[in-house]
Amino acid sequence: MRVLTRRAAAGCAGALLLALGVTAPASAAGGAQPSGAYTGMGTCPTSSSQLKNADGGTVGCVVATIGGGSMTIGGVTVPLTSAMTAKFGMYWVNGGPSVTFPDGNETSIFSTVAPTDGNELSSAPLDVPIPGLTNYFPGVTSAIVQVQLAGPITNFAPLAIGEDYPVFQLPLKFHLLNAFLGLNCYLGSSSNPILLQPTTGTTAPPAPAHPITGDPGGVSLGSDPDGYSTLLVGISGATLVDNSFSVPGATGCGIGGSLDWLVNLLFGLGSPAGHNSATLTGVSTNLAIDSSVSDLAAAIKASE
Amino acid sequence: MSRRRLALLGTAAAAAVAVVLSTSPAFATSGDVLSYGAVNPGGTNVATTDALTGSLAAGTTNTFQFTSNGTSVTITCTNATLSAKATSNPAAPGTAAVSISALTFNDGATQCTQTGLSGVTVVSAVLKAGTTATASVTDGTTKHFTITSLNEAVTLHTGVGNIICDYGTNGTVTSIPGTVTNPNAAGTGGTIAFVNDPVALITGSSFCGATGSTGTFNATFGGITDTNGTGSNVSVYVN
Repeated sequence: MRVLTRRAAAGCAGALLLALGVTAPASAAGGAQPSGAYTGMGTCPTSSSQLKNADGGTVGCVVATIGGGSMTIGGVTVPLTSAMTAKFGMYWVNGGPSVTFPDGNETSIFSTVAPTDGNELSSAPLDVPIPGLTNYFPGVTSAIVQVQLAGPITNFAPLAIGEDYPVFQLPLKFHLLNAFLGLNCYLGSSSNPILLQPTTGTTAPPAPAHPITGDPGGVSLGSDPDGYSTLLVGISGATLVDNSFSVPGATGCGIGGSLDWLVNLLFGLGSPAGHNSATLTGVSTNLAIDSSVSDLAAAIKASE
Repeated sequence: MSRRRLALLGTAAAAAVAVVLSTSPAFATSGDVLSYGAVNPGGTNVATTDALTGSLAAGTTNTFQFTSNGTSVTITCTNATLSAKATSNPAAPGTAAVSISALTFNDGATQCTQTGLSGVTVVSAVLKAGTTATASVTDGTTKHFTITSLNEAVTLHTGVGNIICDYGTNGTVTSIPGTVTNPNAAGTGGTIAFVNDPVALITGSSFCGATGSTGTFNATFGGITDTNGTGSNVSVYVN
Protein backbone atom coordinates (compact mmCIF):
# COMPACT_ATOMS: atom_id res chain seq x y z
CA MET A 1 0.00 0.00 0.00
CA ARG A 2 2.81 2.35 0.98
CA VAL A 3 4.58 1.51 -2.26
CA LEU A 4 1.45 2.27 -4.21
CA THR A 5 1.03 5.56 -2.39
CA ARG A 6 4.60 6.61 -3.12
CA ARG A 7 4.21 5.59 -6.74
CA ALA A 8 1.08 7.67 -6.91
CA ALA A 9 2.91 10.63 -5.39
CA ALA A 10 5.80 10.19 -7.78
CA GLY A 11 3.35 10.08 -10.60
CA CYS A 12 1.72 13.23 -9.35
CA ALA A 13 5.06 15.04 -9.16
CA GLY A 14 6.00 13.78 -12.59
CA ALA A 15 2.75 15.06 -14.03
CA LEU A 16 3.36 18.41 -12.45
CA LEU A 17 6.84 18.59 -13.91
CA LEU A 18 5.40 17.82 -17.31
CA ALA A 19 2.89 20.58 -16.75
CA LEU A 20 5.80 22.93 -16.11
CA GLY A 21 7.33 21.89 -19.35
CA VAL A 22 10.31 20.48 -17.52
CA THR A 23 11.93 17.54 -19.14
CA ALA A 24 15.24 15.85 -18.89
CA PRO A 25 18.02 17.96 -20.38
CA ALA A 26 18.19 17.41 -24.06
CA SER A 27 21.47 16.25 -25.41
CA ALA A 28 23.52 18.96 -27.00
CA ALA A 29 22.45 19.86 -30.47
CA GLY A 30 24.49 18.33 -33.18
CA GLY A 31 27.76 19.97 -34.03
CA ALA A 32 30.55 21.42 -32.00
CA GLN A 33 29.81 23.75 -29.13
CA PRO A 34 31.83 26.68 -27.84
CA SER A 35 34.37 25.69 -25.24
CA GLY A 36 36.62 27.17 -22.62
CA ALA A 37 35.60 30.64 -21.53
CA TYR A 38 32.96 30.61 -24.29
CA THR A 39 31.15 27.54 -22.99
CA GLY A 40 27.39 28.02 -23.21
CA MET A 41 27.63 30.96 -25.62
CA GLY A 42 26.46 29.03 -28.66
CA THR A 43 23.07 30.75 -28.45
CA CYS A 44 24.47 34.24 -27.96
CA PRO A 45 22.50 36.55 -30.27
CA THR A 46 25.47 37.91 -32.21
CA SER A 47 23.25 38.20 -35.28
CA SER A 48 20.65 40.32 -33.53
CA SER A 49 20.06 43.83 -34.78
CA GLN A 50 20.79 45.24 -31.32
CA LEU A 51 24.29 43.80 -31.16
CA LYS A 52 24.97 44.60 -34.80
CA ASN A 53 23.83 48.18 -34.36
CA ALA A 54 26.04 48.58 -31.31
CA ASP A 55 29.10 47.61 -33.29
CA GLY A 56 31.73 50.19 -32.43
CA GLY A 57 30.48 50.38 -28.88
CA THR A 58 30.77 47.28 -26.78
CA VAL A 59 28.99 44.00 -27.41
CA GLY A 60 29.20 40.78 -25.49
CA CYS A 61 27.85 37.44 -24.48
CA VAL A 62 27.11 36.33 -20.96
CA VAL A 63 26.68 32.99 -19.26
CA ALA A 64 25.93 33.24 -15.55
CA THR A 65 25.35 30.39 -13.15
CA ILE A 66 23.73 30.76 -9.74
CA GLY A 67 24.83 27.81 -7.67
CA GLY A 68 22.27 28.05 -4.90
CA GLY A 69 21.12 30.21 -2.07
CA SER A 70 17.71 30.95 -0.70
CA MET A 71 14.76 33.29 -0.88
CA THR A 72 12.74 34.36 2.09
CA ILE A 73 9.25 35.51 1.22
CA GLY A 74 7.30 36.82 4.09
CA GLY A 75 8.07 34.27 6.77
CA VAL A 76 8.88 31.36 4.49
CA THR A 77 12.40 30.52 3.37
CA VAL A 78 12.75 28.69 0.09
CA PRO A 79 16.16 27.08 -0.43
CA LEU A 80 17.43 27.27 -3.99
CA THR A 81 18.54 23.69 -4.17
CA SER A 82 19.52 23.55 -7.79
CA ALA A 83 21.52 25.77 -10.07
CA MET A 84 20.02 28.41 -12.33
CA THR A 85 21.68 29.56 -15.53
CA ALA A 86 21.18 32.85 -17.32
CA LYS A 87 22.38 33.43 -20.88
CA PHE A 88 22.05 36.59 -22.89
CA GLY A 89 23.76 38.99 -25.20
CA MET A 90 24.61 42.51 -24.13
CA TYR A 91 25.40 45.79 -25.81
CA TRP A 92 26.43 49.31 -24.93
CA VAL A 93 26.55 52.10 -27.46
CA ASN A 94 29.19 54.78 -27.23
CA GLY A 95 28.06 57.44 -24.79
CA GLY A 96 25.60 55.07 -23.23
CA PRO A 97 24.74 54.98 -19.53
CA SER A 98 27.41 54.38 -16.94
CA VAL A 99 27.82 54.74 -13.20
CA THR A 100 30.88 56.00 -11.35
CA PHE A 101 31.28 54.71 -7.81
CA PRO A 102 32.80 56.49 -4.81
CA ASP A 103 36.02 54.50 -5.18
CA GLY A 104 36.42 55.78 -8.74
CA ASN A 105 35.54 52.55 -10.49
CA GLU A 106 33.09 52.97 -13.31
CA THR A 107 30.79 50.51 -14.96
CA SER A 108 28.92 50.71 -18.21
CA ILE A 109 25.23 49.84 -17.95
CA PHE A 110 24.44 47.27 -20.62
CA SER A 111 21.20 46.47 -22.33
CA THR A 112 20.52 42.81 -22.93
CA VAL A 113 19.17 40.61 -25.71
CA ALA A 114 17.68 37.15 -25.19
CA PRO A 115 19.59 34.19 -26.60
CA THR A 116 18.62 32.74 -29.93
CA ASP A 117 16.72 29.86 -28.30
CA GLY A 118 14.80 32.26 -26.06
CA ASN A 119 15.95 30.38 -22.99
CA GLU A 120 17.33 33.32 -21.02
CA LEU A 121 16.90 31.70 -17.61
CA SER A 122 16.85 27.99 -17.00
CA SER A 123 16.42 26.24 -13.71
CA ALA A 124 15.20 23.00 -12.28
CA PRO A 125 11.89 23.10 -10.40
CA LEU A 126 12.03 23.44 -6.63
CA ASP A 127 10.11 21.33 -4.17
CA VAL A 128 8.85 23.82 -1.60
CA PRO A 129 7.19 22.44 1.52
CA ILE A 130 3.91 24.04 2.42
CA PRO A 131 4.18 25.74 5.80
CA GLY A 132 2.60 23.62 8.53
CA LEU A 133 2.59 20.41 6.51
CA THR A 134 5.02 17.53 6.54
CA ASN A 135 6.06 16.96 2.97
CA TYR A 136 5.10 13.34 2.39
CA PHE A 137 3.98 13.75 -1.19
CA PRO A 138 5.76 16.29 -3.38
CA GLY A 139 3.22 18.19 -5.37
CA VAL A 140 0.52 17.42 -2.84
CA THR A 141 1.97 18.35 0.52
CA SER A 142 4.40 20.71 -1.17
CA ALA A 143 4.38 23.07 -4.10
CA ILE A 144 6.58 22.46 -7.08
CA VAL A 145 7.94 25.89 -7.91
CA GLN A 146 9.43 26.86 -11.23
CA VAL A 147 11.37 30.12 -11.20
CA GLN A 148 10.71 31.97 -14.45
CA LEU A 149 11.71 35.27 -15.95
CA ALA A 150 8.88 37.81 -15.98
CA GLY A 151 10.70 40.01 -18.45
CA PRO A 152 14.19 40.58 -19.78
CA ILE A 153 17.19 40.98 -17.52
CA THR A 154 18.05 44.67 -17.63
CA ASN A 155 20.62 47.20 -16.47
CA PHE A 156 23.49 44.76 -16.45
CA ALA A 157 26.41 46.45 -14.68
CA PRO A 158 29.36 44.04 -14.75
CA LEU A 159 31.76 46.20 -12.77
CA ALA A 160 29.22 46.81 -10.02
CA ILE A 161 30.79 43.68 -8.60
CA GLY A 162 32.23 44.76 -5.26
CA GLU A 163 30.10 47.91 -5.10
CA ASP A 164 26.91 48.73 -3.21
CA TYR A 165 24.99 48.74 -6.47
CA PRO A 166 22.81 46.21 -8.29
CA VAL A 167 24.65 44.06 -10.78
CA PHE A 168 21.43 43.60 -12.79
CA GLN A 169 17.66 43.74 -12.55
CA LEU A 170 16.01 40.35 -12.60
CA PRO A 171 12.21 40.29 -12.95
CA LEU A 172 10.88 36.96 -11.75
CA LYS A 173 7.66 35.09 -11.32
CA PHE A 174 7.20 31.81 -9.49
CA HIS A 175 4.97 29.21 -11.07
CA LEU A 176 3.47 27.12 -8.26
CA LEU A 177 2.15 23.68 -9.00
CA ASN A 178 0.21 21.59 -6.56
CA ALA A 179 -2.59 19.10 -6.94
CA PHE A 180 -5.01 21.63 -5.51
CA LEU A 181 -3.61 24.83 -6.98
CA GLY A 182 -4.05 24.04 -10.64
CA LEU A 183 -1.79 25.00 -13.52
CA ASN A 184 -2.01 28.78 -13.39
CA CYS A 185 -0.91 29.64 -9.89
CA TYR A 186 1.75 32.34 -9.85
CA LEU A 187 3.56 34.66 -7.52
CA GLY A 188 4.46 37.66 -9.60
CA SER A 189 3.59 38.24 -13.20
CA SER A 190 4.97 39.91 -16.28
CA SER A 191 3.12 43.08 -15.36
CA ASN A 192 3.84 42.85 -11.64
CA PRO A 193 7.08 40.90 -11.24
CA ILE A 194 9.19 40.09 -8.24
CA LEU A 195 12.00 42.45 -9.17
CA LEU A 196 15.36 41.43 -7.78
CA GLN A 197 18.16 43.99 -7.87
CA PRO A 198 20.93 42.03 -6.19
CA THR A 199 24.30 43.41 -5.20
CA THR A 200 27.58 41.95 -4.08
CA GLY A 201 27.93 44.94 -1.79
CA THR A 202 25.70 46.04 1.06
CA THR A 203 21.97 46.62 0.68
CA ALA A 204 19.99 49.58 1.95
CA PRO A 205 16.57 48.03 2.58
CA PRO A 206 13.49 49.63 4.06
CA ALA A 207 12.60 48.75 7.65
CA PRO A 208 12.20 46.36 9.29
CA ALA A 209 14.98 44.72 7.27
CA HIS A 210 18.60 45.47 8.04
CA PRO A 211 21.44 45.84 5.53
CA ILE A 212 23.01 42.61 4.39
CA THR A 213 26.24 42.20 2.48
CA GLY A 214 27.19 39.98 -0.41
CA ASP A 215 30.59 38.88 -1.63
CA PRO A 216 32.24 40.03 -4.85
CA GLY A 217 34.16 36.79 -5.31
CA GLY A 218 36.98 37.08 -7.78
CA VAL A 219 37.23 39.02 -11.02
CA SER A 220 39.59 37.96 -13.75
CA LEU A 221 40.33 39.28 -17.19
CA GLY A 222 41.86 37.31 -19.99
CA SER A 223 42.61 37.46 -23.66
CA ASP A 224 41.16 35.33 -26.39
CA PRO A 225 43.36 32.26 -26.86
CA ASP A 226 43.00 32.38 -30.64
CA GLY A 227 44.16 35.93 -31.08
CA TYR A 228 40.83 37.70 -31.44
CA SER A 229 40.41 41.04 -29.74
CA THR A 230 37.74 39.69 -27.42
CA LEU A 231 38.27 40.39 -23.73
CA LEU A 232 37.22 37.60 -21.40
CA VAL A 233 35.90 38.61 -18.01
CA GLY A 234 35.32 35.99 -15.36
CA ILE A 235 33.53 36.46 -12.08
CA SER A 236 33.62 33.53 -9.72
CA GLY A 237 32.36 32.65 -6.28
CA ALA A 238 30.25 35.75 -5.85
CA THR A 239 27.29 36.07 -3.51
CA LEU A 240 24.52 38.48 -4.46
CA VAL A 241 21.95 39.73 -1.99
CA ASP A 242 18.77 41.77 -2.07
CA ASN A 243 16.29 42.47 0.68
CA SER A 244 14.52 45.46 -0.77
CA PHE A 245 12.03 43.77 -3.05
CA SER A 246 8.34 43.17 -2.59
CA VAL A 247 6.35 40.08 -3.48
CA PRO A 248 2.81 40.48 -4.76
CA GLY A 249 -0.06 38.26 -3.79
CA ALA A 250 -0.77 35.01 -5.57
CA THR A 251 -2.89 34.87 -8.70
CA GLY A 252 -4.61 32.05 -10.54
CA CYS A 253 -4.42 29.54 -7.69
CA GLY A 254 -7.30 27.07 -7.60
CA ILE A 255 -10.34 27.35 -9.80
CA GLY A 256 -10.74 30.96 -10.82
CA GLY A 257 -8.22 32.03 -8.20
CA SER A 258 -10.36 30.64 -5.43
CA LEU A 259 -7.30 29.56 -3.47
CA ASP A 260 -5.27 32.74 -3.85
CA TRP A 261 -6.21 33.64 -0.29
CA LEU A 262 -4.88 30.35 1.03
CA VAL A 263 -1.52 30.71 -0.73
CA ASN A 264 -1.31 34.28 0.50
CA LEU A 265 -2.06 33.13 4.02
CA LEU A 266 0.44 30.27 4.00
CA PHE A 267 3.29 32.27 2.47
CA GLY A 268 2.50 35.64 4.05
CA LEU A 269 1.65 37.38 0.78
CA GLY A 270 1.59 40.05 -0.53
CA SER A 271 4.76 40.87 1.23
CA PRO A 272 6.00 44.46 1.15
CA ALA A 273 9.62 45.46 0.73
CA GLY A 274 11.62 44.98 3.89
CA HIS A 275 10.04 41.60 4.62
CA ASN A 276 11.73 39.55 1.91
CA SER A 277 15.26 38.65 1.02
CA ALA A 278 17.23 36.75 -1.58
CA THR A 279 20.72 35.34 -1.30
CA LEU A 280 22.23 33.95 -4.47
CA THR A 281 25.40 32.01 -3.79
CA GLY A 282 28.09 30.50 -5.93
CA VAL A 283 27.48 32.97 -8.73
CA SER A 284 29.92 32.53 -11.57
CA THR A 285 29.76 34.59 -14.72
CA ASN A 286 31.68 34.45 -17.96
CA LEU A 287 31.58 37.47 -20.22
CA ALA A 288 33.09 37.75 -23.66
CA ILE A 289 33.18 41.36 -24.80
CA ASP A 290 34.40 43.04 -27.92
CA SER A 291 34.10 46.26 -29.83
CA SER A 292 33.25 44.28 -32.95
CA VAL A 293 30.35 41.87 -33.11
CA SER A 294 31.90 40.04 -36.06
CA ASP A 295 35.12 39.58 -34.14
CA LEU A 296 33.14 38.34 -31.14
CA ALA A 297 31.21 35.86 -33.24
CA ALA A 298 34.41 34.62 -34.84
CA ALA A 299 36.06 34.20 -31.44
CA ILE A 300 33.14 32.09 -30.22
CA LYS A 301 33.18 30.04 -33.40
CA ALA A 302 36.91 29.47 -33.13
CA SER A 303 36.47 27.96 -29.68
CA GLU A 304 34.30 25.14 -31.02
CA MET B 1 83.32 114.44 -0.97
CA SER B 2 84.28 114.03 2.64
CA ARG B 3 86.07 110.99 4.01
CA ARG B 4 82.98 110.20 6.05
CA ARG B 5 80.76 110.16 2.95
CA LEU B 6 83.27 107.98 1.06
CA ALA B 7 83.29 105.54 3.91
CA LEU B 8 79.52 105.26 3.83
CA LEU B 9 79.53 104.66 0.07
CA GLY B 10 82.16 101.99 0.46
CA THR B 11 80.15 100.20 3.10
CA ALA B 12 77.04 100.28 0.95
CA ALA B 13 78.89 98.94 -2.07
CA ALA B 14 80.38 96.13 -0.05
CA ALA B 15 76.98 95.23 1.28
CA ALA B 16 75.51 95.19 -2.22
CA VAL B 17 78.26 92.91 -3.48
CA ALA B 18 77.67 90.62 -0.54
CA VAL B 19 73.97 90.40 -1.39
CA VAL B 20 74.70 89.61 -5.03
CA LEU B 21 77.23 86.96 -4.14
CA SER B 22 74.88 85.29 -1.69
CA THR B 23 72.26 84.73 -4.39
CA SER B 24 74.63 83.67 -7.12
CA PRO B 25 75.20 79.91 -7.40
CA ALA B 26 78.71 80.54 -8.58
CA PHE B 27 79.56 81.98 -5.25
CA ALA B 28 77.05 80.09 -3.05
CA THR B 29 78.12 78.22 0.01
CA SER B 30 75.63 75.39 0.37
CA GLY B 31 75.92 72.83 3.12
CA ASP B 32 72.60 71.00 3.27
CA VAL B 33 71.62 67.56 1.98
CA LEU B 34 69.94 69.06 -1.07
CA SER B 35 71.49 71.86 -3.07
CA TYR B 36 70.93 73.25 -6.49
CA GLY B 37 73.30 74.67 -9.02
CA ALA B 38 76.23 72.63 -7.73
CA VAL B 39 77.24 70.21 -5.04
CA ASN B 40 78.27 71.54 -1.66
CA PRO B 41 79.70 73.98 -1.02
CA GLY B 42 79.32 75.53 -4.45
CA GLY B 43 75.55 75.31 -4.68
CA THR B 44 72.59 76.85 -2.94
CA ASN B 45 70.62 75.03 -0.29
CA VAL B 46 67.19 73.88 -1.51
CA ALA B 47 64.56 75.76 0.48
CA THR B 48 61.33 74.20 1.64
CA THR B 49 59.46 76.68 -0.53
CA ASP B 50 61.23 75.62 -3.71
CA ALA B 51 59.41 73.58 -6.32
CA LEU B 52 61.21 70.45 -7.39
CA THR B 53 60.21 68.86 -10.66
CA GLY B 54 61.38 66.00 -12.78
CA SER B 55 60.50 63.67 -15.60
CA LEU B 56 61.58 60.36 -17.03
CA ALA B 57 65.22 60.44 -18.06
CA ALA B 58 65.62 61.03 -21.78
CA GLY B 59 65.26 57.88 -23.81
CA THR B 60 63.89 55.77 -20.95
CA THR B 61 60.50 54.27 -20.26
CA ASN B 62 58.79 53.39 -17.04
CA THR B 63 57.39 49.91 -16.59
CA PHE B 64 55.08 48.43 -14.02
CA GLN B 65 54.28 44.74 -14.03
CA PHE B 66 51.64 42.94 -12.02
CA THR B 67 49.91 39.58 -12.23
CA SER B 68 46.16 39.46 -12.82
CA ASN B 69 44.74 36.01 -12.17
CA GLY B 70 47.81 34.34 -13.57
CA THR B 71 48.26 36.72 -16.48
CA SER B 72 51.33 38.93 -16.44
CA VAL B 73 50.34 42.51 -17.25
CA THR B 74 52.95 45.13 -18.07
CA ILE B 75 52.25 48.84 -18.30
CA THR B 76 54.84 50.89 -20.16
CA CYS B 77 54.89 54.68 -20.15
CA THR B 78 57.08 56.94 -22.22
CA ASN B 79 56.61 60.01 -20.10
CA ALA B 80 56.14 60.91 -16.47
CA THR B 81 56.17 63.97 -14.29
CA LEU B 82 57.13 64.39 -10.67
CA SER B 83 56.40 67.47 -8.56
CA ALA B 84 57.69 67.80 -5.03
CA LYS B 85 58.98 70.03 -2.28
CA ALA B 86 61.51 69.46 0.44
CA THR B 87 59.81 69.50 3.80
CA SER B 88 63.14 69.42 5.60
CA ASN B 89 66.67 69.85 4.34
CA PRO B 90 69.16 69.55 7.17
CA ALA B 91 72.86 70.09 7.00
CA ALA B 92 74.79 67.30 5.33
CA PRO B 93 75.43 64.58 6.17
CA GLY B 94 71.86 63.72 6.89
CA THR B 95 68.47 62.89 5.44
CA ALA B 96 66.13 65.33 3.77
CA ALA B 97 62.38 64.79 3.64
CA VAL B 98 60.37 65.33 0.49
CA SER B 99 56.65 65.66 -0.11
CA ILE B 100 55.54 64.56 -3.59
CA SER B 101 52.38 66.28 -4.78
CA ALA B 102 52.26 64.69 -8.23
CA LEU B 103 53.62 61.49 -9.69
CA THR B 104 51.91 61.13 -13.02
CA PHE B 105 52.62 58.49 -15.61
CA ASN B 106 49.85 59.35 -18.00
CA ASP B 107 48.60 62.87 -18.28
CA GLY B 108 46.13 62.10 -21.01
CA ALA B 109 48.41 63.45 -23.70
CA THR B 110 51.03 60.76 -23.48
CA GLN B 111 49.46 57.37 -23.41
CA CYS B 112 50.85 54.46 -21.52
CA THR B 113 50.50 51.09 -23.18
CA GLN B 114 49.57 47.77 -21.70
CA THR B 115 50.50 44.27 -22.72
CA GLY B 116 49.03 41.05 -21.43
CA LEU B 117 45.30 41.70 -21.82
CA SER B 118 43.64 42.49 -25.11
CA GLY B 119 41.04 45.21 -25.06
CA VAL B 120 42.41 46.89 -21.93
CA THR B 121 43.92 50.38 -22.08
CA VAL B 122 45.54 52.62 -19.50
CA VAL B 123 43.48 55.70 -18.67
CA SER B 124 45.76 57.25 -16.09
CA ALA B 125 48.31 56.56 -13.39
CA VAL B 126 48.34 59.35 -10.85
CA LEU B 127 48.55 59.85 -7.11
CA LYS B 128 45.29 58.86 -5.51
CA ALA B 129 43.13 61.93 -5.15
CA GLY B 130 43.70 63.74 -1.89
CA THR B 131 46.98 62.02 -1.13
CA THR B 132 50.61 63.05 -1.27
CA ALA B 133 53.56 60.74 -1.40
CA THR B 134 56.63 61.14 0.78
CA ALA B 135 60.25 60.31 0.29
CA SER B 136 63.53 60.59 2.10
CA VAL B 137 66.80 61.61 0.50
CA THR B 138 69.99 60.43 2.14
CA ASP B 139 73.45 61.61 1.20
CA GLY B 140 76.66 59.66 1.36
CA THR B 141 78.79 57.73 -1.07
CA THR B 142 75.67 55.99 -2.35
CA LYS B 143 72.80 58.42 -2.36
CA HIS B 144 69.28 57.19 -1.83
CA PHE B 145 65.88 58.57 -2.82
CA THR B 146 63.46 56.31 -0.96
CA ILE B 147 59.71 56.62 -1.40
CA THR B 148 58.29 56.06 2.07
CA SER B 149 54.60 56.53 1.35
CA LEU B 150 52.77 56.19 -1.95
CA ASN B 151 49.27 55.47 -3.18
CA GLU B 152 49.26 55.49 -6.96
CA ALA B 153 45.89 55.03 -8.63
CA VAL B 154 46.12 53.19 -11.92
CA THR B 155 42.91 53.42 -13.94
CA LEU B 156 42.43 50.76 -16.58
CA HIS B 157 39.67 50.84 -19.15
CA THR B 158 38.01 47.57 -20.04
CA GLY B 159 35.13 47.06 -22.38
CA VAL B 160 32.74 47.06 -19.43
CA GLY B 161 34.06 50.11 -17.61
CA ASN B 162 37.04 51.45 -15.69
CA ILE B 163 38.84 49.60 -12.94
CA ILE B 164 41.07 51.44 -10.49
CA CYS B 165 43.95 49.60 -8.90
CA ASP B 166 45.83 51.34 -6.10
CA TYR B 167 49.47 50.38 -5.77
CA GLY B 168 52.18 51.72 -3.51
CA THR B 169 53.36 51.23 0.03
CA ASN B 170 51.61 49.47 2.88
CA GLY B 171 52.46 47.17 5.74
CA THR B 172 54.05 44.70 3.34
CA VAL B 173 56.06 47.07 1.18
CA THR B 174 57.06 49.93 3.47
CA SER B 175 59.36 51.72 1.05
CA ILE B 176 60.36 51.88 -2.58
CA PRO B 177 64.10 52.48 -2.85
CA GLY B 178 65.73 54.54 -5.56
CA THR B 179 69.37 55.36 -6.19
CA VAL B 180 70.53 58.88 -6.95
CA THR B 181 73.22 59.80 -9.44
CA ASN B 182 74.09 63.46 -9.27
CA PRO B 183 74.19 65.62 -12.37
CA ASN B 184 77.59 66.50 -13.75
CA ALA B 185 79.14 69.93 -13.34
CA ALA B 186 77.15 71.15 -16.31
CA GLY B 187 73.96 70.16 -14.54
CA THR B 188 73.05 67.25 -16.80
CA GLY B 189 72.93 63.49 -16.46
CA GLY B 190 71.43 63.30 -12.97
CA THR B 191 69.03 60.43 -12.31
CA ILE B 192 66.93 58.72 -9.67
CA ALA B 193 66.67 55.05 -10.62
CA PHE B 194 64.10 52.56 -9.33
CA VAL B 195 65.07 49.07 -10.45
CA ASN B 196 62.78 46.06 -10.04
CA ASP B 197 61.24 47.51 -6.90
CA PRO B 198 58.30 45.68 -5.35
CA VAL B 199 55.16 47.78 -5.11
CA ALA B 200 52.22 46.58 -3.07
CA LEU B 201 48.62 46.25 -4.19
CA ILE B 202 46.80 48.48 -1.71
CA THR B 203 43.21 48.23 -2.91
CA GLY B 204 41.46 46.96 -5.99
CA SER B 205 39.53 44.00 -7.27
CA SER B 206 41.20 40.67 -7.75
CA PHE B 207 41.79 41.79 -11.32
CA CYS B 208 44.47 44.11 -9.90
CA GLY B 209 46.25 41.19 -8.31
CA ALA B 210 45.78 38.82 -5.43
CA THR B 211 45.34 40.27 -1.98
CA GLY B 212 48.76 40.92 -0.51
CA SER B 213 50.47 40.69 -3.89
CA THR B 214 53.09 43.02 -5.27
CA GLY B 215 53.99 44.36 -8.67
CA THR B 216 57.37 45.37 -9.99
CA PHE B 217 58.29 48.99 -10.68
CA ASN B 218 61.05 50.31 -12.90
CA ALA B 219 61.67 53.95 -13.69
CA THR B 220 64.54 56.33 -14.12
CA PHE B 221 63.79 59.96 -13.45
CA GLY B 222 66.10 62.63 -14.72
CA GLY B 223 66.37 66.36 -14.85
CA ILE B 224 65.33 67.01 -11.27
CA THR B 225 65.38 70.78 -11.01
CA ASP B 226 64.69 73.50 -8.49
CA THR B 227 62.50 76.48 -9.22
CA ASN B 228 62.20 79.36 -6.76
CA GLY B 229 61.77 83.07 -6.67
CA THR B 230 65.22 83.82 -8.01
CA GLY B 231 65.70 81.13 -10.60
CA SER B 232 64.12 78.24 -12.37
CA ASN B 233 65.03 74.76 -13.57
CA VAL B 234 68.38 74.60 -11.87
CA SER B 235 69.64 71.07 -11.38
CA VAL B 236 69.38 69.57 -7.91
CA TYR B 237 72.23 67.71 -6.22
CA VAL B 238 72.36 65.36 -3.27
CA ASN B 239 75.44 66.02 -1.19
